[in-house]
Amino acid sequence: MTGDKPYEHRVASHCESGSVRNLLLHAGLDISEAAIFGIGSGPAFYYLFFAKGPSGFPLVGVRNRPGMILKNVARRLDIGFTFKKHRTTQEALAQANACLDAGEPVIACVDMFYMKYLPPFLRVHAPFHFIVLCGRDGDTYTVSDPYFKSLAQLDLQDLTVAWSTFAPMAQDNFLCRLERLPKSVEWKRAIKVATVKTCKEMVLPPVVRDLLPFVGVQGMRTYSKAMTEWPRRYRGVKLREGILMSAVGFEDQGTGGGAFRLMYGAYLDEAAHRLASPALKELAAQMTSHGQAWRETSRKLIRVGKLVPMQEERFDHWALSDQPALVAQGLEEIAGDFRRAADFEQGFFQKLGSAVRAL
Amino acid sequence: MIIATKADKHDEGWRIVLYDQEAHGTGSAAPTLTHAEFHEEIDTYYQQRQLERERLYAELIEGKTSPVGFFLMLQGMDVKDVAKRMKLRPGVVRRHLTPEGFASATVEQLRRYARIFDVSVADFFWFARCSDGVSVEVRSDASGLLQLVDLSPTGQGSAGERS
Repeated sequence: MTGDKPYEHRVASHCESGSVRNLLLHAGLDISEAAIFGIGSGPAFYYLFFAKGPSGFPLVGVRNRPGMILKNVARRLDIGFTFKKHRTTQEALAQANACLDAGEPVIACVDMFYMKYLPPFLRVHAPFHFIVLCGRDGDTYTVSDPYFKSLAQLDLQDLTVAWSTFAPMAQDNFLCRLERLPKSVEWKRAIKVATVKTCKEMVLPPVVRDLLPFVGVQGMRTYSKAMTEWPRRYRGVKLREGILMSAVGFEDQGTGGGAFRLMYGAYLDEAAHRLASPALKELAAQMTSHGQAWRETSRKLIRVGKLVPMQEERFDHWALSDQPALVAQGLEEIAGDFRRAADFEQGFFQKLGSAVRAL
Repeated sequence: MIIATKADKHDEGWRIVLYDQEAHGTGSAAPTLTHAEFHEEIDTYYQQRQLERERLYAELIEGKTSPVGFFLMLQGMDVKDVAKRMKLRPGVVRRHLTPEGFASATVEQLRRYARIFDVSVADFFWFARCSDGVSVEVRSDASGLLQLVDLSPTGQGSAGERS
């Protein structure tokens, strides 16, 4: 283990905010994961119809771009993080080794597929998974992965291939070190700046919304429309897996449930306490209920997905039964839920923006 | 490559952090370390993957796809993604998905594919099913080209294990 102080590993819902929380905790600054996520302007919605996600369906992002939480937190809490996408893995490794040998844990962004300690359903080719490297013994690295219950081991070969994939959207050879903690945290300023930014990104101005119909609340509406097309666009295992894994992705794959909305509710609640704001407290409760509603919609997705047969060869026979109509009807209902969720979020983030500006 | 004959089983002990409204009775969401709610779906996912593995294996044996295609589809990747990772044109990767095109891939290309799929180059050339009562341990050498296969009666190794 690095340094004199033993590294305290804590699990978290989300890899990036969890890794930042763990690194700060090691340095002596204890901030909750929800606060890191909120200050990092985490909540978002992107329906990237042009990119395929791990579920086999187009990629849906329910948080901001990988790496942005880290950068936003650094700027807004005045934390001296240095981050760099190194040109080569050798260069990144040399830097990481120097830090680890000096007792300094670092954050790396890797492809989750090569994290062999994770269960198979999480081992997907997602090259934007954040971990803390907190020690090494020769070519074996000690990894603090917020998804895993304890510290894990990763050998050099796996780290190398996971760190530099050249994949689309990958943060290849990304390394982050903590150089300086702030003398004091200006919570009010940080909460105001972060929350207003989230509100602006979720509810784009009408003209921009038309130009970028896959972003923010408009993205949710576009996604809801696309959802009703799934039975025509996909068939067999692809359709079943796509529906089921969309729900698992919203809930159990590092979001804290309700596509990060429950975690954001927790952040707003914490912000309300820090700033003694009843208005924010009320909005926190609304966001938490919204997160629970999202969770219920995910359960509906699961029920609909299960109607599709598991075996590819049974699909043609199934397609002639009354089941496809039930799937179409179910997806129609879920699309309605997403449209209502978009309407809610549009109103909510407008109200939240006004409330925070008034603080 | 050992083709598993049974689906993975979701680890009941697997826990995730969920933000739960009810857990603390305050109306606000707080983190709780808990079971994944959708563990049944994860098990179903494993069963689907197993069926997909069987289907792709059948396609491979019938000559409808190549070993590269087998792993690409099994791991839910697409041609564009693999092409970027391989630093090849998508058309070249697409060609490698057919048995004829696969025959034209170079050893260096196969080594890069193997790195991406986390297998060894040898895994592209043999596919075996393992009967009950036999455990198999497969180790790759550092080059990723060679494999050492240990077969033993159950209890003296672990089926399908790779290291």
